[in-house]
Amino acid sequence: MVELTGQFTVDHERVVHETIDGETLFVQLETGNYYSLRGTGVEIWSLLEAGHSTAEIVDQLTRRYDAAPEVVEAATRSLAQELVQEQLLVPFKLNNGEQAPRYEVSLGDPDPTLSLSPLEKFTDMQGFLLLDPVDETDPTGWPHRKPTAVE
Amino acid sequence: MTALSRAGNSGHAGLDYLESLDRTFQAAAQRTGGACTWSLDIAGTSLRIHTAGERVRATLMPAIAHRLTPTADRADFDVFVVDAADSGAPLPAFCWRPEDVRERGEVRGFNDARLRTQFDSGSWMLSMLDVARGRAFLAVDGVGRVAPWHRAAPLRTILHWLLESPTRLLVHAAAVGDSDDGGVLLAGAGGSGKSTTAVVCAAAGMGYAGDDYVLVEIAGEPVAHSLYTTAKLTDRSLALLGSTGCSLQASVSDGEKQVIDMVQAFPGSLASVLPLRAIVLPSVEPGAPTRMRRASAGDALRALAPTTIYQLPSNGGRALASLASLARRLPAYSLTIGDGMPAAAEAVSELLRGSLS
Repeated sequence: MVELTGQFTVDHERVVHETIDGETLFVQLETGNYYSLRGTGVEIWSLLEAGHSTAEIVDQLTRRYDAAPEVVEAATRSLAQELVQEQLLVPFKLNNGEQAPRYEVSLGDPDPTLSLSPLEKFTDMQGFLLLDPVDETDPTGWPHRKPTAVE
Repeated sequence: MTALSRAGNSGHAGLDYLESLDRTFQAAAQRTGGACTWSLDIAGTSLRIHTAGERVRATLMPAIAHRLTPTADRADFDVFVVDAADSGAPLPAFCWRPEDVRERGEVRGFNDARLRTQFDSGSWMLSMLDVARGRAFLAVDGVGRVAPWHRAAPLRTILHWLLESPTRLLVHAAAVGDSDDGGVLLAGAGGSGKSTTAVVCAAAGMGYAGDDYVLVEIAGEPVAHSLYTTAKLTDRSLALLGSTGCSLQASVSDGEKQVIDMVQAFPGSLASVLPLRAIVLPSVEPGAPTRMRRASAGDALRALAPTTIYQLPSNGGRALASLASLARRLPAYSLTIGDGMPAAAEAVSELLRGSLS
C-alpha cells in the first residue's frame, strides 16, 4: 500500500500522457499497454503528477466534494497504487528530507458528485513491441542468412 | 563490446557502417548498370531516391511514384536503396549482434543524435539514417523476401524519420475526401474497417489519400498528405466490396491481406493533399445499420495515438501531444459499418457536406 505522505513522479522516458475532454490517455512506451482514466480519477492523477502527497489530495478532494474522507482516501490510495503497479507513476524516494517538485493544479469546477471510474487498461498493442527472433544467420555470421532461407 | 569500441575511422561505429553501406550501394550500382535516381516531393520536402537494381526499383517504387517530380540536382534528403542479393554486392557484416535488435527493430547502440537504425528481420530489411548529412539507406537481401506490407508502404521507417517535425507526423490512419468539402481521417487499429471504408469511399468517387499511413500537418488548418497509392484489404473486405459491384484485382498478397493499386483500380481518385474536417472511427458490425454518431475527442485520441506510437520507431512518444492537438481541433465521429458498404461512403459524404451536426 502506498504511503499517505509519499510523493510520486512520472518517468517521462517511459510514459506519455494527455488529458482531453475529461479523459486522460496514458501510453506506457515499454510495455505496449495504454490506459484511459475518467472522472475524479483525472483530478487525482493531475495532483499526483504535480507532486502532491496522497494525504494532501485527500484533504483537497474532501473539501471539494461532499464525500466522506475515508471514501476519498481509499479511492486516492487505490488509484495511486494501481498507477504505480502499471508503471505509470513512480514513488519518489526521499533523500535527506528532499521533496519531489510540487506545483499547484487548477482543477476547475467540480462535477456535482465524486465519480470514481476505474483505470481502464488496453493490451491490444503489446504485439508491436514483441522482439522478432533472429535465427537465420548462417555459419559465416550475421547478417548472412541460412541458405534455406533464400527465396 | 560497445558500439564505440568497434568504431573505425569516424569514431562512430554506426557511421562507419553507413560508409560501408555506401560502398555496397556503389558496387551494386556498378554491377546493375548504374544507379537510377528518382526525385520526389512530399509536402514540400524534396527527396532523391537512388536505386541500384531493377527488381528493387520495380518492387518498391510504384507505391510512391505519384510523388515523382522532374529529376533535381539537389534535395533535402538522399535515400539509397540497394538489394544485396539481386545486385551481387553483399551487405557488409553487421557490427551489432542479433540480440541488439530490439522492439520495432530498433538496433540498440545505433540510435542516437547522429544515427537512426532499424532492422526488420522478417523482411531482412535494414533502414539507416545519417541525421547530419541527410542521407538514408534501405538495404534488403533479396527483394523477394520483403513482406507485402513493406511493398504497400515502402520506406515507411525512413519517411517517418525524414518527414517528422513538431508540426507534422506520419499517422496510422486512412484519409479520404475532396479538395472542396475537405477530408476525414479514418482512424483505428488493424481490422477496424478503415481500409474498407477508404476504398468504398474511393469507389463512390471521393479522393483517396491513403488507407494505412498518411502524413498529417497540424500547423494551421490540419491537412493529410498522401504517401502511398496502395490499399490493403482482407479477402472478406474484397468480397464485401465485390458484392457492391466493386471488383478489385490485388497486385500482391501476404496470405492475410491483398494489396490493391488504387491508381489502377480508381483512376483519378488519388488526392495528394486533403484539408481535414473530422476524425472518423469506423467499426464493423455485421447486421447493424450503418450510421455515423458523434464521438469524444478522447475516443479519437485512443484510436489514433497508441497504434501510431507503437508501430513506428520510437520518438519518445512525441506523437501523443501532436495527435491530442489534432483531436482537440477536429470533431470526432464513430461510424458503425453494417452490411451496406455504400452506406458507409454516403455517411462520410454527408458528414463532409455538413449534413451531420
